[in-house]
Amino acid sequence: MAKSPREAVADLFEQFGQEIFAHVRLVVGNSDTAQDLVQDIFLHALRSWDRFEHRASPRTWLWAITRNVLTDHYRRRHHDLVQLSEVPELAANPEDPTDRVFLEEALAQLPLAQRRVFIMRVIEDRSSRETAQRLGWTEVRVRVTLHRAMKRMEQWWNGGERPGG
Amino acid sequence: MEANDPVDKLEMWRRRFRPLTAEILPDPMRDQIRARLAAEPVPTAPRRHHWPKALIPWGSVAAAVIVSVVTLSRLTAPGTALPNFASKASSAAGLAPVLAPTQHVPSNQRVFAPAGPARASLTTPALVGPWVTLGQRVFWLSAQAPTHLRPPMSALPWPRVFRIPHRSPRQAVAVQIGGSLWIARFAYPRYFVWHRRRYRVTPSLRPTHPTLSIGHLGPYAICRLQGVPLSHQVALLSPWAPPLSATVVR
Repeated sequence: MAKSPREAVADLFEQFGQEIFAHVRLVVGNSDTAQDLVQDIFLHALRSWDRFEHRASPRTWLWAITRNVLTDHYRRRHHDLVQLSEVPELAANPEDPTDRVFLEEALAQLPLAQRRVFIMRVIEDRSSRETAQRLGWTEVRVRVTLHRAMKRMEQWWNGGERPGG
Repeated sequence: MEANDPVDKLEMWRRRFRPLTAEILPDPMRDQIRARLAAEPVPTAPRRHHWPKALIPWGSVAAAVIVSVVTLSRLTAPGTALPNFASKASSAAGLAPVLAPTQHVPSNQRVFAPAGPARASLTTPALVGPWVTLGQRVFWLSAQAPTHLRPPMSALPWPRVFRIPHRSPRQAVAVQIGGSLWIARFAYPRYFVWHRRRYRVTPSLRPTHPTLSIGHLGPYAICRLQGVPLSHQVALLSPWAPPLSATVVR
């Protein structure tokens, strides 16, 4: 018997919720926001389940929704005036390059597309092909974007735009 | 020494970012998302149906078009008033619309107020106030609203609301729900954004910059709280007239 949309999406959440949360968490740099976005992603999946035609795998479909939700989030974000570093207890320690907040700040200075490629290729250790599939890009675009991201990260890391640098 | 080969560079960055491991989705968050998925109404719209071209009932289509055109021309004839669907809907619920749906309100938001008192004191345990629809969903704020729209009152923790002094004439407000503090500033009409700060809540808040903005609908501000349990997702604040009122609803 076919599953109801609710059961199907609940199953997808059990299978891929962690993977998507981990990625979104790194992209947005905040657990609460990541949770909201993951919730939005699966609610979106539930609402649009009728339109999912199973041409792609559910995982690919979920990653496409993730891409759209993240893009929408950053479109709205220009109203958000608070930076992570403004919250005193979350401020990074610039002396410690292994500090989690420091590394998250390093990620946050990359533009969204570069950040997502950097996270997938460097932190999540995914191949170019897999990254391209998840982003809906070509592998060439992934490689070029990664190259730019690493270049930008290097400038930041070496003190160009580093806090206190 | 910096690496020059792209592969070496990639490895170098992997080593540097190794401390940034994937965060595990905590169980409370997982449970909350599961609960949210379980509570979300599933769209019941029928699947799109594609008629084979040969089977399209062109006769029926033509008849429907003719009937529509005739009806429309009669309705729009001089001296004929078009039906006011918005006021019909609100009068059916015993409520008077405060704003026309298109007046200062995004198209997917409407505000209605009950005939009775429109505000509740913070210390009053009864929910008295307007109720709001956002898109397809109805958020109730009134004990006078129809019974099926009432929230489970026992499940509602009463929020604490603080004014935050601010340089601009627009006032900022903060709402404490449980251990989280939500701060909002009335800055951008039509937009509302909340930010949850993680510091300890005290009644005498003095942040130098209130953090974020929310929008207002008529005399009220409506705020959506994300990342909180389903029963706390919308807050309605009215900081303009004392007593400062706030109600947290679904």
